[in-house]
Amino acid sequence: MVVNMLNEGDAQVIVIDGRLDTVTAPELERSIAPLLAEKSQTVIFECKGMEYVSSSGLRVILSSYKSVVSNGGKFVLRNLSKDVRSVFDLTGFSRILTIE
Amino acid sequence: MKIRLGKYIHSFSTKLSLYILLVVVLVFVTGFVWNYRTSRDFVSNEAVERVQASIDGAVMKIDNVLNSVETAVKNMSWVVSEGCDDPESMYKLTRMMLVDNPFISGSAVAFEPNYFKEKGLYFSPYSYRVGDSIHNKQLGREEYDYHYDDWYQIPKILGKPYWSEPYFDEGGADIMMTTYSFPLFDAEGKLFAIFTADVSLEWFAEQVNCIRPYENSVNIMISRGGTFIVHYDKDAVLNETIFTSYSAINVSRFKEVGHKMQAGESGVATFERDGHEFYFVYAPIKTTGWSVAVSCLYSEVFAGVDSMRSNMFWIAFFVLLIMAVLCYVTIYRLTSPLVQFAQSANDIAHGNFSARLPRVRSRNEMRMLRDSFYYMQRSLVKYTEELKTTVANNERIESELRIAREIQMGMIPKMFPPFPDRKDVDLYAMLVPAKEVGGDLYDFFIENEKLYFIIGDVSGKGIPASLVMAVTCRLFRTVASHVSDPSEIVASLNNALAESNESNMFCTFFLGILDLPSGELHYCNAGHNAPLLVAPDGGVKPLDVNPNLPLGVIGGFPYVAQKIIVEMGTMLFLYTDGVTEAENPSKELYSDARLKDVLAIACGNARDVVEGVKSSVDTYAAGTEQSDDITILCLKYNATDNCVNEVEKELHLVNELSEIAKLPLLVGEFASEFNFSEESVFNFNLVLEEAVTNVVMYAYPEGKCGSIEIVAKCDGSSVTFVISDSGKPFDPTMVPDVDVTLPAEERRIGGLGIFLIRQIMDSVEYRRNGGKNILVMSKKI
Amino acid sequence: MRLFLRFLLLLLPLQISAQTRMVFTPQWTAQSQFAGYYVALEKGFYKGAGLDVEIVHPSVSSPAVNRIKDGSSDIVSMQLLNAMSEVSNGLELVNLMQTSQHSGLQVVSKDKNIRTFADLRGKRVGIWKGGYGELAKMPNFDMNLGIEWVPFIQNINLFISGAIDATLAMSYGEALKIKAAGFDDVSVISFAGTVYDFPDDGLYATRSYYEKNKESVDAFIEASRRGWEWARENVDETVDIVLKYTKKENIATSYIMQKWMLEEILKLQCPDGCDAPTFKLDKKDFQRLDSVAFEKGILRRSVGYEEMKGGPR
Repeated sequence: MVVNMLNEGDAQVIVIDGRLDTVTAPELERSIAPLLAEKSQTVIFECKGMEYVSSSGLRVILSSYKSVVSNGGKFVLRNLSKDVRSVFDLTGFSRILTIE
Repeated sequence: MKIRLGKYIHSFSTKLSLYILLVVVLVFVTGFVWNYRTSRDFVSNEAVERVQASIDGAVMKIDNVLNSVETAVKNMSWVVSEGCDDPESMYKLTRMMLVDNPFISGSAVAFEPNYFKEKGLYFSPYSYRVGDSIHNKQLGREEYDYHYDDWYQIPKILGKPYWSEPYFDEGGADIMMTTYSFPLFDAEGKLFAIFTADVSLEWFAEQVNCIRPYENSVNIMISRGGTFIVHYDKDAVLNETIFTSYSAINVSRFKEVGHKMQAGESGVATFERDGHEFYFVYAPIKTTGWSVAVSCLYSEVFAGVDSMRSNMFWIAFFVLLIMAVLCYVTIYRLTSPLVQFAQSANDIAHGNFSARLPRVRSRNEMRMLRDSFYYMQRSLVKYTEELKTTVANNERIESELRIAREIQMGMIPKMFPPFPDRKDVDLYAMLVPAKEVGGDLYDFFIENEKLYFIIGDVSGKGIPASLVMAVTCRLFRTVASHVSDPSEIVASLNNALAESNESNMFCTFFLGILDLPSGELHYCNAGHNAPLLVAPDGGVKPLDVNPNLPLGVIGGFPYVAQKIIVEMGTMLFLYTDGVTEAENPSKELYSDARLKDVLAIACGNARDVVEGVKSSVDTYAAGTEQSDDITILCLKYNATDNCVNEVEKELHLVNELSEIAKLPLLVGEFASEFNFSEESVFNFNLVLEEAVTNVVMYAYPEGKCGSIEIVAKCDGSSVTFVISDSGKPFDPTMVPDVDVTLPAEERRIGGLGIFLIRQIMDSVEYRRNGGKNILVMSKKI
Repeated sequence: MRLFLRFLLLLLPLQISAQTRMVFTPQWTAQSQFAGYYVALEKGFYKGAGLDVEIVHPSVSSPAVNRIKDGSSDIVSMQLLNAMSEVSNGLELVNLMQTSQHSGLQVVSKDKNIRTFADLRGKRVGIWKGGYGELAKMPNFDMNLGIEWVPFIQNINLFISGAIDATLAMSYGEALKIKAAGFDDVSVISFAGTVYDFPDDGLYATRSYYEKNKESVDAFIEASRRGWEWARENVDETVDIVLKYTKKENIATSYIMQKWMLEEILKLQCPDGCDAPTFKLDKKDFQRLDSVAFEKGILRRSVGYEEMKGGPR
């Protein structure tokens, strides 16, 4: 899994490519940790390249969401694949998170 | 082998020899030391006595001579006194002194001044030797006033005879002299002359020097003033005194002894000089008040003892050496037969009973050993012969048993598949006896669309059990041919067996009659373990049976039969306890649980199942000897399909999260074979990952290495994953469901894994079995 | 001509090296008492001073005083009192060097009850026949002890034999012989430290000889001093030198004896409390001796210090 960070205006985009599973989830967590501490950040997860997600991945996403929101920012998920989207639906995450 | 044995024996000889040697050496040394000590004291005393004796001898001689001089002078002095009218006659007297006494070398009568007025101040007629002749002369003259000489003045003052201190003769011949002065008194008691006798000390020196108790002993003689008269160093004579000469070394001791010698004592002292020790023995010459001493080296005194000690030591050494060698050789010779005995024992052990025994000539323990060996040999031969006979007998019995087995096997149906034309039942059975002939039995036949099948286990093993088995088998066929109620059949079998049951053998028994069209199973159990029902979906449970009693226990026992409906696709698995009680090398039993597990995942036809179970048992037993007969009868009712195209894959993982990467591969393999949709692939990956993650996180404690087995099965219609691990008990199904309706803030992090699994898979079951967590997940596709 | 001059030149050193001949006679036979002179001779001090010295020892028949009288010896060693006595009798002697600053006289006795001069009343005391005991007679004279003097020639046999109660002894002579004979536990009365303590040995020459050969005599004195100083520094070697002479003269003695004697002599030259021997004749001591001796009639007339003064200043 590869994590890249871009700026899009005053929003932070985190591009995730590959599998977000039990092994790679901690890596993602580490990469975005500094980011999450900043106030009023708009954080976008670009998931076009995310081919797979498991419960560990879901966990990281949820905790990131909570962090950003509590710092007064915005959290968005973009371009989820069909299978990934169905997992989010299944787990009710679709209703909690902003998905574009 | 031979060499090693030899070494041991040799070391035995060596050891024993050494011990003996040690003891002897100790004795020797002790005796030696004690002897040396005592002999030293003895020698020391002897030496001193010896030296004293030699000194005494010399001293006595010297004293005698000096006494003789004294006597001569005394005797002559009377004549002198008488002949004092004629001064010239003095010469005759002095001359006579010399003639009569060879020791006297000069004699004078020295008169007081003017005693003979005509002779003047210095009248002193004097005779002296020159070579062999005797000369006369006047001693005193103006240049030589003798009146103040010691030999004159001292006896004059003392008023008694006086032996002078030694002096060198003025004649220049370097002869040491002493003078005996005898004062002569007139009628009024006034001194008028001194009568002298000069004695050469050469002879005395010789006497002293002859005292030679030891080769290097040295002698000295001192005068009253301590001056050396005799000394081994010529320069010291008359120059040194005993006090000056030894003042450099050991002053105080020598002073003491010197004083003692001057005092005329005799005794022994010991000194040390330059690292050498000396004995110093002294004795006085009473006549003159001089003293003689002999000094001898300790080393000389004890030379004899020391050399004796030295000799003794060397003798002892060689004797001990020889003794040690002899000892060694003797012991070696005595024990060498032992090596040969060892060798013979070896040969015999290898089967050569007629191995040669060493020759023992002596009539001792070795002989006894040899005789025992010989006796042993003969016994072995005899015994082996007997054994051969017994073995032959046994072999005969063995072959008869083999025949018996064949007969027994002939009694049970062995043709499989037994009903190839029938599609409603698939049956397979197997009987593996523990010994050549066994006590297990099975049988089956179809009559009137009813499948009669039995399984049984006679108590015990071997021929007795097999005979009962044979009876029971035949009896069943006979009874079942005209009785259709299972309980009745069983009851009559029971009665028959119980009747002539003197050996109290019984047989556990199960009889089932399956009505093939309807699937109704009428059955009766007689103490046998319940058969297992395997549902089409793989669920395994035991058939509900009334145990009743085994056959042959009590005659007339009322057996109760039961009925159930068998579903289509159900498998009935009958077995004897040889299966579940099979032991592995650690003496653990195969167990019912394991059997159930195996059956749960078994697939294929009855034969496959039976063989699968059997191979599972064999694998489990891992070579342990089969203790009981193993009998299995398996029938499948109305199986629609065989598991065609069932694929099973296994994957073993180590409990590390990183191993999750291997899961997609497994799923991928299935996917290609069964054309899974992408969604299915995704889901299956997810399910496996979640399940394995849970195991890694919760089943194994920190850092413990463990393995996770994943078995994936698919038959085209459903997919089953079985995940098992040997970690601590963890039931993922016990985790409460996640509430997906909660808002984000209230959502807990965790529990999603199992939620997802349950959502995706049709069934999720957990069980703990044989120390393992087993999670079975399946889904229809 | 040139050759001849060269030849003469060669002869010159020979002439210059011609040394003054002198005969020295010590007081008595060869012993450490005269060690310094033997050393000076052996070590070439005399030679170095341009003196060809011969040491001739006296004998009973030819004592030192006779030899200086008849001129057979040029320099002698003598006791101070003896020299003064000779001078008072008309022999003109000058004191060249004083080797003994104190009296070495002692009275030695086996009897422990004899502790002072007074205890010698009526006793038999050994005295040198040769006349060295003049000084010793003074206490007897003064205290009227009535001592019976028993003359001995040159050994302590009288003392050993017990024929006398006590004996006169020189601290460097008879006293040491008594020690050598094993008599340690003896009573000793020393003249040194009493009113009878006077300087002892010294070197003398006749006035005429001295005045005629002042330079050589001074050189002799100087070399002799050197000899004594060397002896003080090298006791053991000195003893060996002395033994050479004693052997030559056939004197019965031993190494130890000569060593003891040398040590005693050196002490008399420079007693406790003195840094270095002066070798000078003390005027006060001289005058004291003169008055006492004259009083007792040992000297015929009083002798003046200046009269006998000689030696290098």
